[in-house]
Amino acid sequence: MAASPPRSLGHAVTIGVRPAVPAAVDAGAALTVRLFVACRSGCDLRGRIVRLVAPDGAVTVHELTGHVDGTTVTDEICVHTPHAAGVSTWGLVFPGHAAGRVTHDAAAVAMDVDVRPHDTSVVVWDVPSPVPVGTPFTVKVGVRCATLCRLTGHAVEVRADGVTVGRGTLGALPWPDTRGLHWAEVPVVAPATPGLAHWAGIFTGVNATPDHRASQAPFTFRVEPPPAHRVALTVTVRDTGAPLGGADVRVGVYRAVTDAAGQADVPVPAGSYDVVVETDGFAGHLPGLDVHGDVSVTVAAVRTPTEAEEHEALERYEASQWG
Amino acid sequence: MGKPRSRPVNRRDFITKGAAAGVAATAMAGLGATVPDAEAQTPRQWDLEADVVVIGSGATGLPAAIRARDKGASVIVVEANYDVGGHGILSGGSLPLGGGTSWQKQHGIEDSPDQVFRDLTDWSVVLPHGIADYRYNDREVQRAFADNCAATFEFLIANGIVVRPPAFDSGSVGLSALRMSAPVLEGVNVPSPMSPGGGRGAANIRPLEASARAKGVRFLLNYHMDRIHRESPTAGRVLGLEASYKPRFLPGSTTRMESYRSEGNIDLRKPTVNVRARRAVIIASGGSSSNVNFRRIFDPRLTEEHQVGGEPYSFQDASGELAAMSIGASLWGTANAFERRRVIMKRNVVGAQYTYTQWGPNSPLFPFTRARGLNIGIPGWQHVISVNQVGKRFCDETHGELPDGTGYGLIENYVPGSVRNTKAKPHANADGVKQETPLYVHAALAMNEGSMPPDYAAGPVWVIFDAAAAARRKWNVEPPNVDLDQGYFFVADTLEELARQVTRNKYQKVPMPPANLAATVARYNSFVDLGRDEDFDKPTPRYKIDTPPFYAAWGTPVCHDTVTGLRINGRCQVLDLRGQVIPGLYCGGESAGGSNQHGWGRCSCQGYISGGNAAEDVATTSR
Ligand SMILES: Cc1cc2nc3c(=O)[nH]c(=O)nc-3n(C[C@H](O)[C@H](O)[C@H](O)COP(=O)(O)OP(=O)(O)OC[C@H]3O[C@@H](n4cnc5c(N)ncnc54)[C@H](O)[C@@H]3O)c2cc1C
Ligand SMILES: [Zn+2]
Ligand SMILES: [Zn+2]
Repeated sequence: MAASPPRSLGHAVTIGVRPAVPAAVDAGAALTVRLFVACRSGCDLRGRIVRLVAPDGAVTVHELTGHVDGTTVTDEICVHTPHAAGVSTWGLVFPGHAAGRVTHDAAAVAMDVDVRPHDTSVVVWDVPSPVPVGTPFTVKVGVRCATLCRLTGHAVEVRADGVTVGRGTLGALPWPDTRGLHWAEVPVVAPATPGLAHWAGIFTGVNATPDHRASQAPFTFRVEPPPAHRVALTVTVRDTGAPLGGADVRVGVYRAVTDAAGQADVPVPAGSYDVVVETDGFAGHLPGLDVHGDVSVTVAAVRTPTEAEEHEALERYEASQWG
Repeated sequence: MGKPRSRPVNRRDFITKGAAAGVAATAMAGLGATVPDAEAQTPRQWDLEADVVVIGSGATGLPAAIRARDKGASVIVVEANYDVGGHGILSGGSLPLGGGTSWQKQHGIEDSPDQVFRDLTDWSVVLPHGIADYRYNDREVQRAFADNCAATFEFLIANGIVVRPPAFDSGSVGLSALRMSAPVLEGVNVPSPMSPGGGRGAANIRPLEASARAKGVRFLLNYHMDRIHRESPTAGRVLGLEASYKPRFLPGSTTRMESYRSEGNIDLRKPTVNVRARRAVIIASGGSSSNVNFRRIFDPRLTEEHQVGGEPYSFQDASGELAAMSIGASLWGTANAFERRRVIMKRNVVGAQYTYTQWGPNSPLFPFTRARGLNIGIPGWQHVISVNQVGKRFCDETHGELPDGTGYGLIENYVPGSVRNTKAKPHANADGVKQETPLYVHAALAMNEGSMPPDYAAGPVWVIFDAAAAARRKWNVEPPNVDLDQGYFFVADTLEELARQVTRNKYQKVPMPPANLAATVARYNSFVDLGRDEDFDKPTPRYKIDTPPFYAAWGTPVCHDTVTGLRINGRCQVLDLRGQVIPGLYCGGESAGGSNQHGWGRCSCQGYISGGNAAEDVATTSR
């Protein structure tokens, strides 16, 4: 950024930009700066001009309008960094002048600016798990640009081992309570073999203007054989025999919630399962339920401390006796 | 009399003869101490004087002041804060005192000083993590506690405290008998100028304060004791102290904060005052938890990111210990500082800087605290993960606390000193809070990739959760529950954005790599699919962290009690490095060593002991 003084008898000047442009800036960013010319003798150069040569070769001319502490500056101007990432070079030229009592040498400076693509990040959510082999389902994929570009209309993908298995287009409105997470519902089909699937939501960034970095979010879900059988569960309160409605039941990795009669139907593949019942204040456990056909079982849940009770014990502990 | 004595001492004298003080002074460089050099002289002029001068007006200082006054001494209490009470006024106020109190008798509880003494020195009580509860207590100090325990209780009642039966017993006052009662006073549970933290401790502090003022104790508030004057650096009597004016202002205010009561306040605004103590100075300054360098003497892991329960009401900055060590005092009983819950605690309250007391908007301190904190409760840990400063998990989040200590009923068939006790490890506090082999706090304090020399600090702990968790648990993630402004709570669209934000917190000294946090969460989410935590064995991780927005809440463990400090004898006189009494200097409460007990019991009792002895000091010690 140093001026290059030619051989002459005029005053030498330094030219540049204020504030100094950082070595790296975002693509497509707007920077507000002043161009300046400083004569070593402190001459007032108002009324003279500076030329700014943009990376694409476009030249704009700016008049020097202010003189502060021996330096003459332009008004604030707004410059836009290129949309393409990479090193971009800006030129600044002071033509110099020979007229008048005092002459000033011409000066030119080239400035290299590292233009960075925008950072992005991806979120994948609403992923069902487990999913029966080969069944279609959807996931939500959201993308956020670090500098909050509106990414509506851009493509997202879901990939399995690098192969695209689903595509979506980012919608117009950000997800509720986010600042700029644009998202898409992406339809996919579960793999044909059981196991833990490791997939990823991908934003490639191609076609985004200005340039954006690609990003991805890995996610997992469980793939299971088709549920050929039905476990008909009845959950009761052990002490009273009364049905326990609204309880979370898990048959292995399969989940359901009991109805008012304490019943839940859970479709599962053949296998051996631990049945766990959990709800606030009750717990039940039935280990090793073998399922080869439709089965009906009853689980008697026992009383456990409710969350309110645990919470109260804690509050009491902290706030009353012994905090 | 009347005129302070000063004896010039030259540096050579100090270095050659003052070995003990020299060691202390060198050891304290960098601890924020005013280390008096050899040329330091006692002041030419005393601004104030009293028979007994008490440093601090908390759980120790107020009983000390009243007891000294009852014995006929004139008393000035020098208090750094704008009001009295210290940690004592924020506390729950329960009074672990026994040995045959009227309250115990009334409830048919048998107890005696001998039983208290035996209990508090019992080698055989072992906590679930293998650490002994009472083994390292100083026996002389415990004997004095046992002998004065019941008398202290009656004294507190006589000075206005009203008690009711406790809901339960709790730690560290021995197992043979119920030794716990709780104070009652209308209105203390709601934060107000009368009870700044909404703690029931105000039901102890305010009656004691009223009694002290009525009896003529004078209070020099807003003055921080900076040094204790002794005839010479390592010899002679303690003569008084120097204190500096440290008024407090709420952020953005130019009006000095004022005490709830004012009768008996000494209204001074001089930058520095010298207060003469004709008979004795009592150090009741509450310990060292707020002094990072000092607390690290006992546990080097307790670097600055760990906030302090009790701040920002009062700051227990080791000034009492430092001033005493500058004139030769010794530390004592440091083994008590290890592995105790209250030295360093996991908190269920997250998302604010000060998460011990839940500082609501009603508190006069709210402009300092800015947020109440989000209480996720014990069940909450199933819905979150905790990560270190580089975005990695370090422990099963549901893992509990360091054990708190033992109390009545916690070991079945307890027989003092029985080897069988060592096998009957207590598994819950009497109030039902589980005591476990402590992993969480130690893992949180462990070194990680972001730990930098020279301290290799663990850095902050962040509690990470998603919008689905907040909805499930009905967590209100808005101010005043959380502190968004000062960087103790963050919201972001993605995990990467969240990681970039946390660097706004001043204790987050290294960037949290966004990819780390994203990878940590993705891996945790896969454990939810698997139904098991392959890294830390969290019992069946049930909830993925995947629904935007995402949250990061400050969850760094908190320092609380000081359980080691100055060496004292049974009379609460401070001893020097050679085991000699420093004439005219007393200490009690959290600034004193030799007791592992948490809270009011030993503090008020040592206040009672030191106050009584200080008032009579002239008679008992030659000048
Ligand atoms: C939030 C909280 C809850 C608690 N709950 C309980 C409970 O339920 N039951 C229980 O038994 N215990 C409880 N405790 C612990 C108990 O409050 C303390 O153990 C006790 O108050 C310590 O007494 P102390 O006199 O040593 O110190 P403090 O009570 O803290 O008093 C020390 C005083 O000295 C002042 N001071 C410090 N340095 C100087 C100086 N250089 N010059 C002048 N003044 C100075 C401080 O400002 C302070 O006012 C709790 C503590 C806290 C923080
Ligand atoms: Zn010129
Ligand atoms: Zn962008």
